[in-house]
Amino acid sequence: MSGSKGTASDSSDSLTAALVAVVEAENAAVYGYSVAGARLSSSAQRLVARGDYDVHRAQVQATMSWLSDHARQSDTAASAAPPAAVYALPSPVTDAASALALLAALEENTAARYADVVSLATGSLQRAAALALQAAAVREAKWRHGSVPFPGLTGRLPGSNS
Amino acid sequence: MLVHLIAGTATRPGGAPAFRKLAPTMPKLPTAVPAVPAIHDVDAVAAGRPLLSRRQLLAAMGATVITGIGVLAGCKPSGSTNSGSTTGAPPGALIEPTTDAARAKRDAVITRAAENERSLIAAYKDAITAYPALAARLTPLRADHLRHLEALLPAAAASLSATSTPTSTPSPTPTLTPTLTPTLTSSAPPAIATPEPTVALNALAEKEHAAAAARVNEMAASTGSLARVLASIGGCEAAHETLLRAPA
Repeated sequence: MSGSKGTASDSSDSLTAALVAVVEAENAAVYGYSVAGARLSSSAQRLVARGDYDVHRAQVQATMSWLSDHARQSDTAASAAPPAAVYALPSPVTDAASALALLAALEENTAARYADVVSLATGSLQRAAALALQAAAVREAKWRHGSVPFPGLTGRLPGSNS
Repeated sequence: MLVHLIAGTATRPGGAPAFRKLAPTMPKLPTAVPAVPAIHDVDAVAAGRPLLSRRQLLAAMGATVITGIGVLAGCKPSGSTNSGSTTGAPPGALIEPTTDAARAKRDAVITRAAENERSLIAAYKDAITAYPALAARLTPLRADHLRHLEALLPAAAASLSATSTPTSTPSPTPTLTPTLTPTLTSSAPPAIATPEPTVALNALAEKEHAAAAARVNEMAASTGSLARVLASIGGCEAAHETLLRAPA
């Protein structure tokens, strides 16, 4: 999916890969919301999920433009894969509880991909990724009914098992 | 649970990963990640147990940059490979600045963030002291900030817990209780008076909002694993604001 013309530096290639990953994570989130949204028990939650679904669709477009901007600036040829028809889910979504768990996991996953971009980018791209991470953390806390100390780093930080 | 979802895919050989991993290769967790005591309770800190140094902790986080990439990344047609999903920041390359000036700048950023975390921890403590009914709701959020302080400045977290034990008798909390009462009694009919705990929650939410914005600014002066950690802490603080503003 991504290649380079050999002129970009290693860190630029890493950023390209991180941007490709964030687009793919947003595409996976769009799919996940469409699966989980229908299983939520209350209409209020389904309404919120519908709004978040739209947010992720918009983020697919936003992150694709981050990727193309970066590719142009670094003279790198890179593009993300088109969204897949089906994504593997971590566990079957059969009821409201498993739907909530999936939504929280989707947000943690997108937060982690934004965190990767934060660690590699600078300037306005880094800031935009940090704000996207915050938005994902807010949604994650909403579905989880609680916070995690290091959204986007869960599993990476020693001792963080909440 | 998410630990298993994200990290477990790489760490449980033979076990069924929670997220079915479809990209061809998954980077292994680095063997150099140092063991660290689980510190989700305040007691570990209060006990003065030696914690990981900031350098070790940041190195541990930076070294596993890409653990989760490919997780839920997509059900690709078989044979399609995703060359982008296994690349990450070169571990170590971003961890320590090389010049004295860069190191001083980095230390200043860390000190500023740690100072803010310390004041948030104090604000939560004051709110819990003033409104014990909020303890169940606020204690987990305060614990998050202790984790943040530990990640940034382990020594400060340890000394904070050490000094806070003797002074834990209800200290005066002038900012919380007195501010509201005069205005409420003088201007508003008692029937619609805002319950004070709500005011305390809103005050904390404001602090969290400012903290989340400050972390983004500090992050902008940072790169690599420090930027990553600051952005994540800011994410936690944005989530705290939402939780504090949500109805109980």
